[in-house]
Amino acid sequence: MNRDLETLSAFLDGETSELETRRVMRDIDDSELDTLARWQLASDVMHGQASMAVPAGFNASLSAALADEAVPARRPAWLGGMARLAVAASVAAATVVGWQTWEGSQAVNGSAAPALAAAAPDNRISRPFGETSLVSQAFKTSNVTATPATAVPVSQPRVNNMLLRHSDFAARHSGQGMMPFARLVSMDARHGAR
Amino acid sequence: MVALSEVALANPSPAQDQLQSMAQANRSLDYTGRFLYQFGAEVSTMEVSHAVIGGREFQRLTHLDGRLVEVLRRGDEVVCLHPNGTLTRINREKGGPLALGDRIANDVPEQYNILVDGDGRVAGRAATRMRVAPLDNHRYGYRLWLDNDSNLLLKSEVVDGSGVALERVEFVTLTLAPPLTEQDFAIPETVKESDLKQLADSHPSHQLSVDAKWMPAGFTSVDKDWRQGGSDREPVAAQGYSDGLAAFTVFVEAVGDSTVEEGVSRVGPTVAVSRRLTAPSGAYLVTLVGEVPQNTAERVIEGISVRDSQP
Repeated sequence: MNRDLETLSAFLDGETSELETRRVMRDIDDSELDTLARWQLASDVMHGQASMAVPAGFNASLSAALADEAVPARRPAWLGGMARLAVAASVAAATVVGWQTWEGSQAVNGSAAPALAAAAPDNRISRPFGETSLVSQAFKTSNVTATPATAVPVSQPRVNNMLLRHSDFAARHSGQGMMPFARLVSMDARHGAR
Repeated sequence: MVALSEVALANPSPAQDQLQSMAQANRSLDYTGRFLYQFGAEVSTMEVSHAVIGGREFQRLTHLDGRLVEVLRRGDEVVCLHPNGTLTRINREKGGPLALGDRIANDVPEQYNILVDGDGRVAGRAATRMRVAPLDNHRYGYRLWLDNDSNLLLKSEVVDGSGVALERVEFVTLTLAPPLTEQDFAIPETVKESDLKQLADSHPSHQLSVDAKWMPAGFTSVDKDWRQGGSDREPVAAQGYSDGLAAFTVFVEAVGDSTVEEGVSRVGPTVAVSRRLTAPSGAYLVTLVGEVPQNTAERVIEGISVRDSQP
């Protein structure tokens, strides 16, 4: 609010001059520290730094942070769209399963999603790996909101069979060694855990 | 070290040569070890045992934390043991032995730039770091750590265009030439078994053909089959594509007018995209599952058409 967020963003990216850096360090206030912490988290995730030790509730807190971030008044309009998309992209790379609806379609609404999909044939919600989602995202044209979704067990042998068959093909024909089977094991374990 | 530099002198492309040695070692050596596996944001621990016994390749992958899941490969058979005690089996009656080694040896895909990066250390072992960089944005890159002694893959990362690791495997312990017998790869007792049966060529479903209007450069069709999860289920066709390193599979199944889910989802490097298509005799759901960027997957699936010769 009080400061040019562009400077803050540049600071985070290490793109400020020495003088600017010192000025930011000196003048930073609490609300900016919050913003910075959230951005740093997203940036760490994006660069894989947070990836080896993910605390429980990581995704939930991240989506909560994103939900905060999505309040339009917190940022100047020119920054809004792009920056939030960038954050969302980093989240997609880090989340277990990011459910995405096709552009312009109805937003995924937490635990109601699978029920909706079953009830309305036209509802274009993905039901990915027969699994659950920790963070669901609805992408719209210029605005991204993230809502924490509750874990929903969805039994979907159809998709699991596809994964198995894909792993079989991939193990035979891609130069990835045991990786295709490791993926399969990991997804199946995750599926069963919920 | 001496052996390594000799190879480098003898071969104009030591990096590609090393990649081939790795593929060969992964398939032909006996080893057992434990590794960290990071897929998307989750980390788990797994154990792998691999052996060649009587000319057949055996492999067992076990999930060590959380629920117990195992994948066993016994020659041409792949068995997945699920956390609820059930088991799914894929048996390949035709198609011969796994072709991975040959494929890598014959052509390292020209869509990648392969570099030796330097020395590293993984699981207490001296390793050589390599980088496999894609030359376009239709595939992911890899960072690989190869064991200097055995050429086995000790650590690997799949990275996207901005350098983010989407998936990571890292051995913590590795034992070479352990005493493994066929008994170590026995299928555990399970409560229920289901077979993904391969359909005969004469099955009416084979009249269906799948055309892809667009493929990313280097991807060719490698394998296909029809399988049925049970007599009460519709058979699903699968067509695999690979550029030699990455792979994706396109599935086609007939769907009624009932619920069809279209959409996209991904975990780590794996993306799944579903689209509904109509052909003269009905509606089909086309699903792509594979390790390619989402944009590429969506572009492929947009160009997929289904032809059926039924009235």
